[in-house]
Amino acid sequence: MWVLVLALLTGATADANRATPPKAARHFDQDARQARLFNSMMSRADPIALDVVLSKVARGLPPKSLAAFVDNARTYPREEYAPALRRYARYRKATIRARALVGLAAISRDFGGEAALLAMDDPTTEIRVLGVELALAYTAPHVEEALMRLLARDEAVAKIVRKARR
Amino acid sequence: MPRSFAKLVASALLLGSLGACARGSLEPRRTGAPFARAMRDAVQPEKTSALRLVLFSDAEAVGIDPQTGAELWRRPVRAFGPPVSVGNAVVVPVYGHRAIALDANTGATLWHHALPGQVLTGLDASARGVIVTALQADPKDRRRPRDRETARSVVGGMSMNDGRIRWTRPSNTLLGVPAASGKTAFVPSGDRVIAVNLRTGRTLGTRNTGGVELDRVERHGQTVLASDGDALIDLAVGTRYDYEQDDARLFARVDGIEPGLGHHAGVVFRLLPPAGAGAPREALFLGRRALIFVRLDERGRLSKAHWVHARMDQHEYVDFAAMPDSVLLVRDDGALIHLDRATGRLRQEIAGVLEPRGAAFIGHSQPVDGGDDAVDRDTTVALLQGLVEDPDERLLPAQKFALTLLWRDPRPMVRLAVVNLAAGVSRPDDSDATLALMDHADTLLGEAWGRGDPQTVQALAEKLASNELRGDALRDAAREAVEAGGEAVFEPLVGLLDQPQLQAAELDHVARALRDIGAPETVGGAARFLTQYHADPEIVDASKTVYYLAELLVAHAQPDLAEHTTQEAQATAQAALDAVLTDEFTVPSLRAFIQTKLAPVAPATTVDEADADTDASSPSPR
Repeated sequence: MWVLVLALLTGATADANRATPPKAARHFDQDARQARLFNSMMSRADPIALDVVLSKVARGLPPKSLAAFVDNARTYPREEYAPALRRYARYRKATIRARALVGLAAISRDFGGEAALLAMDDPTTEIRVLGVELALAYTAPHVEEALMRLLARDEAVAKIVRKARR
Repeated sequence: MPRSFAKLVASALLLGSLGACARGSLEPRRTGAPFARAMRDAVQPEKTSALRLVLFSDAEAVGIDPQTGAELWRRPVRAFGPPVSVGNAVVVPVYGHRAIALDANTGATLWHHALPGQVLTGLDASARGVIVTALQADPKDRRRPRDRETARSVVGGMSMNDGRIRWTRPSNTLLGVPAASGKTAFVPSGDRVIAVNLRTGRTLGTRNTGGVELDRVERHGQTVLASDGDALIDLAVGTRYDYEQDDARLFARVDGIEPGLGHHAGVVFRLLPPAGAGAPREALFLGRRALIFVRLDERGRLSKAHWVHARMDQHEYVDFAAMPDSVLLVRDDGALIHLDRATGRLRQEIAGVLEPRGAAFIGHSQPVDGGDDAVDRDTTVALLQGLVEDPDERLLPAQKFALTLLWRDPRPMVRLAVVNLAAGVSRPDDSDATLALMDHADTLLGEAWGRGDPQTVQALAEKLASNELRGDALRDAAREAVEAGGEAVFEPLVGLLDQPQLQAAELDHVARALRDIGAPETVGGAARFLTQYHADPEIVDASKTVYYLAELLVAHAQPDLAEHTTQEAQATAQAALDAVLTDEFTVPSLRAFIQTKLAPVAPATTVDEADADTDASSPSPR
């Protein structure tokens, strides 16, 4: 089952593999530069770096920077990233949603439970499967209840989970 | 034979004949099937005959040929209340609490008789007789009742042959204006309608209308409707129809005492008999010098205007009659105006012979079928807008009516007229009429727009919020929100922007609806979406969603009029657009689009300018 999750986290999905449109090409370098900046800033724990990151996130991010943010949020979890990660948990691209949810779960157990609930409510089957994994990792009564409901109503997810458990 | 003996015999004969009539007070009884039977018998189709016209001044009645305007006869008649026609006769309540029946062709008096009671409430007639409701003072009080609190009601039947009172019955409740049809009379009594035999006064059946204080019963074709002034109840099936019209109740309330001929002061809302069974769906609204022919929806709400006729001079209309192919109006100088029924255009104007206070149209009962509009929608809307902007204060009732019709339009651009008026833009003066009109516009802004009503809008909002609509269903629901929505749809529509499972095309429908509605309340959601995705070329180029939302934000950042937005929405929109324009990562095509929109000299094109068929191609408040 983690194969699916890893595929999502690495962005190996159809929308992530789509070629970058030509009109955005000239922004490529800038986007990559900002993504590297995110790697650097988010690894630091100082308030100035945090402020820079959050202000850039609030203005909206291009694809590489966005990927860098959600990935670094998992590596260097901070509670301050939670609002942005919640927002990205409803992003239109499944890869971003999955990575944002994992980043959210990385902050603490409470956020892990929240991430599990959000993931189990996602329209994409793979992310709902991720939600099952998160629910098992961050157990809480209300999370388990949601997990039972999901497995009862969602045959596709239940099938994948059964297969993975064998 | 001595005279006293002859009187005795006559009295005995009269008592004998009265023996067949009902006695005692008018009591509601025999509900259910007996009333339904009485209804069925009463509403048989009537014979139609040529239209004739009698005009009434303070002192005279004049028979007129409605086609030529020629005076046929003239009689001294001091009409008090509105006349009613039956067959070839017109029955006129006259001063002195009497009624006179005139031959509509010759003006000859058919009969002249005192009315039952002391103060007239209402009167109607059929070929079988005349039904009269009136107030009567307490027997201990010899004076005529001055108000309904000190009087009790009485209902009576008169012969149509000689005007003789056949029967009278007192009532413990206040009676309204009755209706006569065939051999049955329908008498409104409190919240009930009592069907009585017109010849004998015997109660045939009762319909309880459920707490509505009825004021009047009228027959419309084969439908008998009771009214409390605000709504109609179909007596056949009990359905209630809330016909909206401002400053002119369906029927002027009499409240026990007939207010007199011409009391409506040129403001009349008249339902037209439907071609088939059921409640009327067509109506004419006369607002002094404007006449609006409207379509009503199945619940009796104003739906749309077929056409508008407004006089350019200062004359007013007194009354009108609708025929299948024309509408005949009587002007306050007595002139007869013929309008084309399909278009409202002037066909003929005939000089008058008398300045009338009231008119009676006799011998016409053909139903009117609304049919398709012969006047294009834009012309009718332009005339409604022109009517609203007319500074003549006498037009206020018609202007309120027109404003309601504009708010009922499915197109946001048309509804903008109501927004502008509420903001004091289209009528910048501060006359009483303007303030009253602004107040009405403000009330409308808080209501559902287009064909929407609270129930349908709530159902639509719940449907959108369920997040189960996809494809064409979502497209239709989003369009319905634009054409017949209300404030309840804002939140679910904005919420759909955050649903990742929506396809790009589906998201387009939602964004386009938000742009077309143009509500300030949705600006926050649009700003969030634009800020989040403006730098992601895959999302920006996947559909027109971002562009529609950018248009919404531009409309609020740079509104045509400050009244079209709120300060908060303007600030939010401006901040979002600034952020997008100054961000180096913004998708170039989106940046160019916004810059074009914001440029002062830029032409006002829209995302879908190619979609010329759409009626709402630019942002506008609701």
